[in-house]
Amino acid sequence: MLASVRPDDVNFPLFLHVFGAMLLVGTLFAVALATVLAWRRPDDAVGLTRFSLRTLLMGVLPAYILMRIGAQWTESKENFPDDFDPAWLGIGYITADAGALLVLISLILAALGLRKLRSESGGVGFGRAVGVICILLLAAYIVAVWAMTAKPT
Amino acid sequence: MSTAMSSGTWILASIVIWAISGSAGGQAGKAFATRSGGRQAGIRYQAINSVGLFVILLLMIWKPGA
Repeated sequence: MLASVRPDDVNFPLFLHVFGAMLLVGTLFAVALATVLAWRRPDDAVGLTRFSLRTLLMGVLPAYILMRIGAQWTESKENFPDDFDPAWLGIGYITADAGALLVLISLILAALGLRKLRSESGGVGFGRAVGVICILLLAAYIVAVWAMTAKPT
Repeated sequence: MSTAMSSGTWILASIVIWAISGSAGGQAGKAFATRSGGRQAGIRYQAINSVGLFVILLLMIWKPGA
């Protein structure tokens, strides 16, 4: 089989879901990388922390919203039967909804960290905490991407 | 577009765009690494890379001609 062709009305919601997921993984990777670099280069730590916290607020949050809305819209358009409960869909729901809590925690930490950076009274510690959360989220979403694309069951 | 493309052409188109995007991404990295005047060129190459990846996503979702 060269390609499975789905109903046309599923394409746009699926596009939003996949586009949001791509942006989410990309922005999380940028935050994680900036955090690791800030750890290794103490002289640039403030600038890199500011970059990572801003990326979280302006990149990760909109990408998450796009991915989650796209996911729900796609599922509603697919018209799955009531007893349709494959593992890949469950993994997607668990990582997305548990990830929402972690994204919320990191957003609060990022807002606090940016405020500290502006007042020049620290903030790098908040950046590190956000970076660790983003690395965990990144690992979870890589598993989710594998489950949702390979569909092992 | 779907009538003009035969079955599987979207895959070939995606591979070609992927190669072009990858090359543009590499050029963007080199341009940003140069000390003088590389920023504009880097942004241009990076834009080509981003647009290419966006088009690949469109091709993969809509599969024109499949």
